[in-house]
Amino acid sequence: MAVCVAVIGKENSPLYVWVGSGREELHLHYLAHTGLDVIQEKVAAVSKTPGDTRELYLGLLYASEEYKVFGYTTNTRVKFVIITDAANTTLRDNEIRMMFRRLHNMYTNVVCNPFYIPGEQITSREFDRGVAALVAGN
Amino acid sequence: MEDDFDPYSLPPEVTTQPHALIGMLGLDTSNKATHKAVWEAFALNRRTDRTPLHFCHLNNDFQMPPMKQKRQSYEWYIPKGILKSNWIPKYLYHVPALVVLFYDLDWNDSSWTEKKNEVAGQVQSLKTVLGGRNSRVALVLIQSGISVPGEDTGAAEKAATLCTACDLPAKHLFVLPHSDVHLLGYTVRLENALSEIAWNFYQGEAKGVRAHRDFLNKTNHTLLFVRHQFKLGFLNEMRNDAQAAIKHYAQCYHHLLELRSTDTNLHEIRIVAAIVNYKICRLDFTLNLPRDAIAQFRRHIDLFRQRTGPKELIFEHYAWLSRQYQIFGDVFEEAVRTGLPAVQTQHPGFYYQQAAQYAVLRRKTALQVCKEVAAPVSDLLEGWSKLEFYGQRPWRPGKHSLEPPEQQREMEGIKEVQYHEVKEVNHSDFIIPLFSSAISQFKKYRCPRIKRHLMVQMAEEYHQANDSSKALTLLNHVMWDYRSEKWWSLLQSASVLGLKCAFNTAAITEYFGLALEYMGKRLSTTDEEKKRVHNNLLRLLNGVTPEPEPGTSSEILTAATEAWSTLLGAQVSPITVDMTALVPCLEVRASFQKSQYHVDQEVSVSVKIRCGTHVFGVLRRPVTKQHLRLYCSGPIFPGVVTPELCGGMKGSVPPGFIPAGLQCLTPAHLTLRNTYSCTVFLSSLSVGVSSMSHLDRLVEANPDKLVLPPGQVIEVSLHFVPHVEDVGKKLKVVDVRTQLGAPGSTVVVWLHWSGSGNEGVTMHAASAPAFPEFSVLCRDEFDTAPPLVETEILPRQPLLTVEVSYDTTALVWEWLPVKIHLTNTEASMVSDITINFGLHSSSHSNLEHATQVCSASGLQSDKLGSQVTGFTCGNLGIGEATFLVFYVKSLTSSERAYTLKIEYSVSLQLGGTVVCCPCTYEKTIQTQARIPFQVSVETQSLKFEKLARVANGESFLVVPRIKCTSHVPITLTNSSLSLAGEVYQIGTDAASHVVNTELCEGEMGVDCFCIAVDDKVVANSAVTLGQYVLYWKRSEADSVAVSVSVGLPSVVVEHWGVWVECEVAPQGTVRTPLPLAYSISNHGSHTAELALSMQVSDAFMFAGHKEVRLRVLPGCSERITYTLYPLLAGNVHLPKLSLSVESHSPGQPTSVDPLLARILPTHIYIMPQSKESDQRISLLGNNFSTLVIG
Repeated sequence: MAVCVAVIGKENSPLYVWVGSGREELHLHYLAHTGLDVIQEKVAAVSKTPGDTRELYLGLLYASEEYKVFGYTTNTRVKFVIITDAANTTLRDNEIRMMFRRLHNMYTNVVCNPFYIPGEQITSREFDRGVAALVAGN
Repeated sequence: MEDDFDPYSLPPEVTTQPHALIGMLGLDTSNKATHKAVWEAFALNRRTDRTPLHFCHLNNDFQMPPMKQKRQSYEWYIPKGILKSNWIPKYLYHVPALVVLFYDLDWNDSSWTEKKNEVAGQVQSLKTVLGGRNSRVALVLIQSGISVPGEDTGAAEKAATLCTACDLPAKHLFVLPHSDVHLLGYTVRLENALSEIAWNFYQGEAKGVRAHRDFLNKTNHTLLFVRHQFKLGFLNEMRNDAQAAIKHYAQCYHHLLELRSTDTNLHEIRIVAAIVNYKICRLDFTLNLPRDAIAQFRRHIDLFRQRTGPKELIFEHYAWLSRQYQIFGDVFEEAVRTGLPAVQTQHPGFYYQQAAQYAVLRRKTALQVCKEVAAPVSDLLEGWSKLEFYGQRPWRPGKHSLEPPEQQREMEGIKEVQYHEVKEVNHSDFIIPLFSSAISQFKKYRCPRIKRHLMVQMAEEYHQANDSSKALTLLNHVMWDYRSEKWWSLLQSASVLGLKCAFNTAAITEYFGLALEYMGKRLSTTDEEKKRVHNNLLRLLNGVTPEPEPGTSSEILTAATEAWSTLLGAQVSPITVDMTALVPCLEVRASFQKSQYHVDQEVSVSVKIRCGTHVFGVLRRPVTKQHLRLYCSGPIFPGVVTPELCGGMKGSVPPGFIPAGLQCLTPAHLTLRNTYSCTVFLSSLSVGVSSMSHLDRLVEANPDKLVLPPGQVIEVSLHFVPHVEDVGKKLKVVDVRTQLGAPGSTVVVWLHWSGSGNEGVTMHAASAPAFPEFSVLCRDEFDTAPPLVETEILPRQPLLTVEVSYDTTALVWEWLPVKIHLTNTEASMVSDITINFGLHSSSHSNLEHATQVCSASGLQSDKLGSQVTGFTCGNLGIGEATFLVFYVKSLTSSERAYTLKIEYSVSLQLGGTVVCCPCTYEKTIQTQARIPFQVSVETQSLKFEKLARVANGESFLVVPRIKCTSHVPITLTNSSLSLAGEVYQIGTDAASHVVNTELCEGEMGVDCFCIAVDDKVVANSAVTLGQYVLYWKRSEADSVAVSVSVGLPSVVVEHWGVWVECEVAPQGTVRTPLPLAYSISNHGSHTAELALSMQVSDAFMFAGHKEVRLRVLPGCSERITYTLYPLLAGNVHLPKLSLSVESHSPGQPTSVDPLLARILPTHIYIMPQSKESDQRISLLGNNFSTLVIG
């Protein structure tokens, strides 16, 4: 399943980064960060054609030898990045899309918390549990 | 062993673009200019749109490579390897497909036969040299003249004989007319023809190779399947048939995969696979099939990634992989250069990046595998670059077997490869260029973050390669972005590396900056790490070389230590760390307390300091305190700050100041809190303040010793007195500086925040919410409260008492007095009082022209504007008062605002000095102007009837009526007429009737003047009479009289030929005879024949002509007298005189009645008879009658 899940704020600062245990944490951070390049381009390309309801799921951002990086952006420019093993063939595009939807719902719940300050790092046990369930695939 | 040989890359002949090789014989380029031109036209400056050919210049003594013995049977032939390394160069450079013999021969050459024979001989010897090779021969005759084939029938014949003599097919004979103009065109056509012949040669060769296939069997000759397909591919490439070439190369690759591979032959297989893959990818790109190319490369990598080869040589696998990616990146980039569009997610950069990563992996594995390598005994790698077959091992050349032939030798060979890898290969030289290629690609395709990641990796590589300064430069570029995007994890990784680099290069400024950042709470390094860095900082402050960063190798350590000690040995110049670009452990916010200060007030700046670094429960260490010495001085403009201030503060710093402060907290206190705080000594703190006039200065203060508990905010107030020059300007916090380290320590470190402390990257360090709406949730005032960066210096509050008295309702035209009473209620003498008074600056420009302002002395001046500026008023002692008046004249009735600005200076005791401080008093006053009176002027006949036409010479009246609309009584002091030239006043002593008349609102005064128009005026023209000038003032005693001119109406002047005057007493009495006379005068130039009649009236009986005809000569007059006998009393009708002119001179009315009606009296008062008969009213003689209306 996914090896890294990242929630990245409007100004591209990380709000939440989960990295699977035993993975190269720093490298995955870098990957999640570099995925922003492609997200930015894709979002910019879409916003040039007004009137379109934007598809939030951005698909595969890019693939390296070991990992595939997928992206998703909300209407408020909060970005989600999910990284999977390149060898992992069980996760199809549709599953990834569903994962992003779930992540988006979970993020919405976090923002609905009146004590959460938008733009701050997410420190929520509920969210932690959600992400853990998400990456475990159940 | 050559240095530039890389056993894992492609041989140079493979990467050369194969073109058909055409040899050129018989060109004497050094001696003959035409030959040189021909050679250059063919071989030099070939553009890409020309046929892909390669020309070589042959000498007469050239030789072909020898042919091998043709093999009759392949049955016993065991190939020794896959691809021979000499085959490609042979076809590329040594075996021409076609040899062209050039010869100067015109068709009409005189010695044709001899030359023909000579050519034939040359062709023959050439064919001998070519031997068994199938290389073609062509003959080109260089001719000086242009011959048209149709004209010269002898040419075709001669060509045929020449071909026969040379034994050449007719198609192999060409003529190249040599003319400078068209040479290039001819050569292009000729080379197209030549290329056909050359390509035929390669087709023939390919056919030959294909013919071998029948002899091969699958057991022994699997290698030959590969080799033959490769040759076919290559030959097709030579003949410019990329499609066919790809097909054969693909077949070749397929055969190659079918080979059994073991650790022994794997290297050969993968090198050949690399070559074939390169050829396929490159051709795919040439044919504009980038997807095929990428797919082929993916497949290639997928197939070989798992085949790692022997454990001892695992690095070879990564070297090879790295090369594969690099080669593909190069091919891709070349395709992009020639027009292939690449996208953000698919461009050469990714391949370079991967290549770099494999290159790093290569070094890593090499260092792991080859831990104990000894220098080799024998040189088994001899001839590695010149092997007969690609990819074979130098210690067993020509052996393609599944098992090593000699186990011992194999082991030694591997050892030598390992030794070579570790000792003789400079890995960084591979890795760094790969990174830089990748970086430039990612920059091109708008991937700034990937680029930054690569830069970090490149910096790591530079660090490995012992070039820490370059690494540090790269990191500095990158870290800024990580800070501003708050990717602390990434910042941390770069920071750790940066700290190492800074240590290695003894870059003290960077070291301090990074260390301060490292200790901050944003980087989640361990407490021990933070403490270690902190200790290093303390060491450095005391002039001791810091401890090395972990993982520093010994030789670097030596160099670094030396660099540090050299650096610290000398007097270190003060260091300034730009904190604005960092996310440091110390945060400051400098803020003015108020947004406005008066110049005589102390400006206070509060500096909040937060020490973000604290490590709990790690070590018991004395809690040291922040020593803040805040000072203010004027370093840029010395003397800006008063000397007492500076001197007093600086002098108060005792020596050994910091150590004393260190011991301030008791150990008991420490144990209780059990905290260790990474202490930061601040020995001074200053705030730079700048105003618009660039009077920069530093603010300094010296508060008592302060304890700064970790994580808490300490606030320090600084005060300074603004300068007089700052009045009206804004002061701004320019920077905050603190000094790290005790005074007198070897290293002086200034921490410098520009602005108020939350500019630049520093802002991101604060945990202010991204949306200000949520500041309520974020309770930290330090983070959320925006500092006041600017304050305005206002002038001193004036204590001068000013009373202004004036009437808010002004009258138009009047000089309204504005009285100003000044009383000095200051504590000292007020000097240099300057008063500006005038229309408010925001007034409409129309008002400026309709308003006049002057001081008392300026009343008589003509040039008056709407402002009085710079009215000086001298000095005022304490308690003294003065009084002055300004006058304001409003020319229109509207509302006006005036500004009164009084500037003066007063000497003050400010901060110990006597300062001459300017003060400004400002007041705005309003007036509403109203029109004081309205004047309407009428012209009236002497009978007080309104009149618009007058006869010249006729007296008539001007009656101005003055209606007062003023709210206060006004007094009309005088009035007069200012008449036009052709108008004159009757009775020069006639005075105004309104002198000293006082009018209140609603009252009216009437004036009256009698005037006449003189004779010179043209008949029937309108005459402007002139002006009525009225002098008036308010009835108040002290007001100034002003004059107002009112235009008089104009009248039309008529000319009458006759003029009639009536002589009659003003009144008569009943039944008393009353004489009446009309004198009729002729003003015209002709004799007037007049008919006069007197009508009967009921009120009178009269004696005289009732009807009479008169003749009046020009300039003469007739007098007709009547005696009236009044019958009735009262205002009775006089008998009406009627006059008509009988001689019809042009332009004159026949009846004069309208004139008579105007000028002659119609009524007369007849008194009743008095009781006393003696009361008689005397006649007035010749006087004109003047009737006064009661």
